[in-house]
Amino acid sequence: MDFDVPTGVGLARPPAPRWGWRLRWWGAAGIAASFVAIAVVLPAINQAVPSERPIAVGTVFELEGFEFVPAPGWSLDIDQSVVIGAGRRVELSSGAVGFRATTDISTGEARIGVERAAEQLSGNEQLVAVAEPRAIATVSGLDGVQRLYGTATADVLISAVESPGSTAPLLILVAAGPPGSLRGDIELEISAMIDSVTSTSAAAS
Amino acid sequence: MTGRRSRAMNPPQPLWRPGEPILWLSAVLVLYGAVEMTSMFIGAFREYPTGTAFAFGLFAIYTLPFIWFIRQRDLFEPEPVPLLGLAFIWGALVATAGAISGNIAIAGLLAKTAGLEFAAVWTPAIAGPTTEEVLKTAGIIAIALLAKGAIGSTLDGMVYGAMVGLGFQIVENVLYAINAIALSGAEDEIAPVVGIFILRGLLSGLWSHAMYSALIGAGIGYALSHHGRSVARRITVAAIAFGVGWGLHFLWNSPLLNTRFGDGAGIVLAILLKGLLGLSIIAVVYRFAKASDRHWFVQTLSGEVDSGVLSQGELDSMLSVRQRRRFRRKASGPPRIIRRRQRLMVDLAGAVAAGDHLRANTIRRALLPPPPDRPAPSGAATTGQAD
Repeated sequence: MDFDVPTGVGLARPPAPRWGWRLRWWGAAGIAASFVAIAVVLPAINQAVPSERPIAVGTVFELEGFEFVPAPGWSLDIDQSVVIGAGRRVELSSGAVGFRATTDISTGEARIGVERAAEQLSGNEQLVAVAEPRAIATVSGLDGVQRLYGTATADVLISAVESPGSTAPLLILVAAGPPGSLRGDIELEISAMIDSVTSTSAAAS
Repeated sequence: MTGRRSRAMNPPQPLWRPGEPILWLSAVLVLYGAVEMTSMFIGAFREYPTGTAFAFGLFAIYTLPFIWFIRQRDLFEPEPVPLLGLAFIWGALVATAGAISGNIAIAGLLAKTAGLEFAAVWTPAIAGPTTEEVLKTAGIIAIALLAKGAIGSTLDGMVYGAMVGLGFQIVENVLYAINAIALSGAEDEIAPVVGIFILRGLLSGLWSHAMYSALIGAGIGYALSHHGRSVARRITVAAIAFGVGWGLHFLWNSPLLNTRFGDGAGIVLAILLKGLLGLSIIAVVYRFAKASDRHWFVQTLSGEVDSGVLSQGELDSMLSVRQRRRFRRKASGPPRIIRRRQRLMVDLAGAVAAGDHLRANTIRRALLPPPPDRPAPSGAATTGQAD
């Protein structure tokens, strides 16, 4: 059976203008450019801008319930201190030595926090503990645990400071540098930074 | 209203057109995104196999009602499944892979120029919308370039935008869930995933990426389909739609309003206010977009009522999901047959509008058994085939 074609609006309308090859190429080029700008150019610009910043006198770093005072002469490594979607992190540097502070909400036990931090740091290469864990206490009275690890290329000192009652019960402090670098003045400066840790949530309560 | 009907003359072109630069660009970008995201997820599967598998399963199930809802809104001209799939894949792989490095870069630049404190508070609000909305919008434009005619109305743009946004939203949620497992210490891999599912899936899922991109897609749909309007006006509408999508994303990610009403219930109130603002806007835009498509649908099929292929009541029943359901319940025939007729009517509108006489006549023959609410046109009943 045949039908008369109804004069529907669709048939009565003029066709949409065709897109010429220039428009199609420009469209594709625009999409490519936007992707490259975001995924390649922006990271390149970020890499090109120096990441180390001197720390102003009197600066106090705060991380989810904890505060600590940086040692004089240390710089802030901004690229390493910015984390998207995984909480806050502060990374300082002095010469070849880095000092990273993060919080860990997994457990309130400092010893477990230290071991977890070592696992996360080591990746596929196992960090070797070169000293037994030892108890530490900050000037403000917070308890913690500290342990020294080593690899062929680095010494790593991991400390965990507890803040009872806080939603972020541990502050993990990791100092790392070439073998033998965590001694002398640097060791004193690292100890001073760990000693300066206070709990803001404890103070608030 | 001189506007959108010209789309009907251009049914979606086939995807495989080797001469099109966008085809190869899309292939490269999808491949890049697949490699990037797969390597990320393989690492997560190694570290947290149970939690990662659970996150994938949970959010895969979560995706289904969203897809159903989006397709339900696309009443008058259902989009081809391969194109919808491509839109989803673009959001899930291309936009996410690009946004991850872009967001980290913007975070670093903000911290270096405005300070760590500022960056900690404002990076999500500034970086998120800027990289993510641009990359998702690129996906909607890629669909338009890949299959010219696919985005032939404001509503088409909304549908593709929603699919791109949904793909992004699902993968982002899975990434957040994996992140939450890592942050929690991974002693329990399930609880953090459930927490993220409640927070990002249930509490904020309705007004997330699918909504932002649907709004932006509406603007692109308008610009591509309203040929009777000036180019300046169409570009302005698309730009405003992008601005609104960007602005809603910015507002959601920003700390604005979060503590305005206090803690606890106050935060929930702030979340609701931010979310409902976006939902209200998209509801209004959808209403206009649907009205435009409905107008086209009725006009396109009005000739079929005159020629006796459809009844007026049957055509009127097609104008909303609710009316279609009600018609199926009340019609004299079995709901399965009525549902099939409704699908055929949608197909017929597409064929008539595309000028595909052969296909239109085939559909008319299939439709010809008498509509449930009127007698058969003379001579038709003997030749028609319902099934």
